[in-house]
Amino acid sequence: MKKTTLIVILILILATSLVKNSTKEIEDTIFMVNENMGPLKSELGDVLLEYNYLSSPNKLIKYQNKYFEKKLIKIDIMKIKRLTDQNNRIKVSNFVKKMIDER
Amino acid sequence: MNGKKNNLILEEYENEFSYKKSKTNLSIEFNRIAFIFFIFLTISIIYSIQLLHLGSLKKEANNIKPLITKKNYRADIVDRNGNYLVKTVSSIDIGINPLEVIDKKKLLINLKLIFPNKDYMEISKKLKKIKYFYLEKKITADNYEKIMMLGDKSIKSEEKLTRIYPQKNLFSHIIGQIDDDNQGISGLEKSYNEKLKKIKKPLQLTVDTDIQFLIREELIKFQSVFRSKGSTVILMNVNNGEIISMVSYPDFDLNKRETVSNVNFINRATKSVYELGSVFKTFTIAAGLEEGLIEIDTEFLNLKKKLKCEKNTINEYDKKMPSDLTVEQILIRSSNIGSVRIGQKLEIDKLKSFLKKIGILKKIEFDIEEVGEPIPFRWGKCKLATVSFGHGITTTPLQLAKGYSIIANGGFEIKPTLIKKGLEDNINQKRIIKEGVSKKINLMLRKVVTTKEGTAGLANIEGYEIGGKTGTAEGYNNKGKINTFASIFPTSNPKYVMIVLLDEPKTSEDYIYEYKNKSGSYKGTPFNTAGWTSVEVAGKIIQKIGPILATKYIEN
Repeated sequence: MKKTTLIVILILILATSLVKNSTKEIEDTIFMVNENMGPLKSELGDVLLEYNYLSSPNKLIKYQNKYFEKKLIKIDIMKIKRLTDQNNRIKVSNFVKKMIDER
Repeated sequence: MNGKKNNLILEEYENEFSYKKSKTNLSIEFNRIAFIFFIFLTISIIYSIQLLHLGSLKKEANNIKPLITKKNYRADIVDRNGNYLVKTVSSIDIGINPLEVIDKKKLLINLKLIFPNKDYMEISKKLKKIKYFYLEKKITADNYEKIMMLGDKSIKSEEKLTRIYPQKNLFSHIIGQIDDDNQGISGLEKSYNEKLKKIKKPLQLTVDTDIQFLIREELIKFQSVFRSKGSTVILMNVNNGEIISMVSYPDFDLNKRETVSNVNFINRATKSVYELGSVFKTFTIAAGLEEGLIEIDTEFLNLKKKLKCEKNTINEYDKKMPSDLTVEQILIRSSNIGSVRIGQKLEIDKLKSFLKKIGILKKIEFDIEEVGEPIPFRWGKCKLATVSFGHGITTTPLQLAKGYSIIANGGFEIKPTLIKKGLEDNINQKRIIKEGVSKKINLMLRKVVTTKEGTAGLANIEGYEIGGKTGTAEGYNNKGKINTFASIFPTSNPKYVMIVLLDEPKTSEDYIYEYKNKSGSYKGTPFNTAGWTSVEVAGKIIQKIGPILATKYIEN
């Protein structure tokens, strides 16, 4: 009985140390990934900043005036349509319904 | 004393003796215990070493976050869609220590190859002195590589953090400025100074860059039409107080870091207090409905054309104003005398308490510190009369937006905000105005836009169900006119409130108005009123931003 208890304890100790060791490896990997993420995050931030600047409405209007002949026009909300799937058929309806006082 | 000491020694000897005896009897068990103890000891040592090792790793992990620990770090600010409005970036400044220069001529030649446009006479003078100086601030990546390739010991590089504002002027009044020590001095940079230094994630605002841009473009366009001193627009969600756009024009480029001392650059949306005129009639009527003193169809008969109160004479703007009007007609036709009669029916306490309830009378709590305080006044009979139609009382456009939101959203309290919060924080529960008042007011505000007698026909843009009230007032202390249009849309289920205020606009001779409620157009501004100025601006803005609001925020 005593021997069995001792063996069980020893096995548990061994298992704990093995689990702990593998956890340490995972923690090491997490640490390495985190460390590598820092510069990537910073790079992503810089790229996003560049993207936000170059695609800002102000810049887009400038590019549009510079490179395109046609002018940008505002969409008439009454021309926007809503597409809905009804039994594999696409139903087209007005996005905005006219109010009684607009008819 | 000596006898006692001897006794003690004898006891110790006895103990030692009995211990030795027991050790010999239990020699086998002791070996087992010692063996187990040894294993435990070994494991605990291994475990301790691991713990120490992991502990040291965690300490290192904290050190690797470079931006957080750097001096002058401030968190980024993004709009509701995650677009950068402010970003902290690293930049490198290049300096030269003249004491470490070995060959001045060689250094100057090399520098001229990298920076051909610099004044080398000046640099040569600086090199003769012993004082450290900056050669190039915020150097480009290419030039940094080139200058470091020189391998000159006297060239020093310093990494610094700077704030970049990719949207330039667009959010100048909201974001505000920082000083040379990276301390916020205005706007959110000031009010969130400490938070921005601590938080790791960007601060997300409720504003939308695209909508802000479109509104600002329209304001700039109409600045040249009506030649106003300045203008402001606030677009807010009536249900949760989220400000989608807040433009105050003129504005300034935050990247230039200039000292703004000109008063005309004030934040008109939150800091300036104005006498806003007839837009207050909505509040007077809402107070009457709230108190159950009037209904939409309550008639006021024999209304005079002129009223005298102490030194002041109260007139009707429209000389053809009928003498019998219902409450609805008073709002649609913007009758001053009719509003006075409703105010008199309410009496001071009830009107005062209503205005207090919707947050008009006191300074508003807001996310930025640049908030104006309504000018205090003493209530009296004459004051009651003038306040009823929006004169002799001042407030900020932001408070006006808040008041209209509460009236439009069914009577629920809201807190205007620029900071995006969780959905739970934004759900309003506290009702402060009786159920039913909103519906009646929204219906009347819609008629101000749709009917022939209404003063805001130019804002009747198809598809948006715009409702609103105009306000034309003389500026405080008899300055130029303040033309305001407070609008809500869609009136059947209000989602947005938009305030358009033009500060001291002038009439235009060339501008062509396209009628909305009838066919045809009209050249030139016939009257310098809100109906011919602010309403036109509001209509044009809604035409442009409407499709974005309707499609992008459909779920909200």
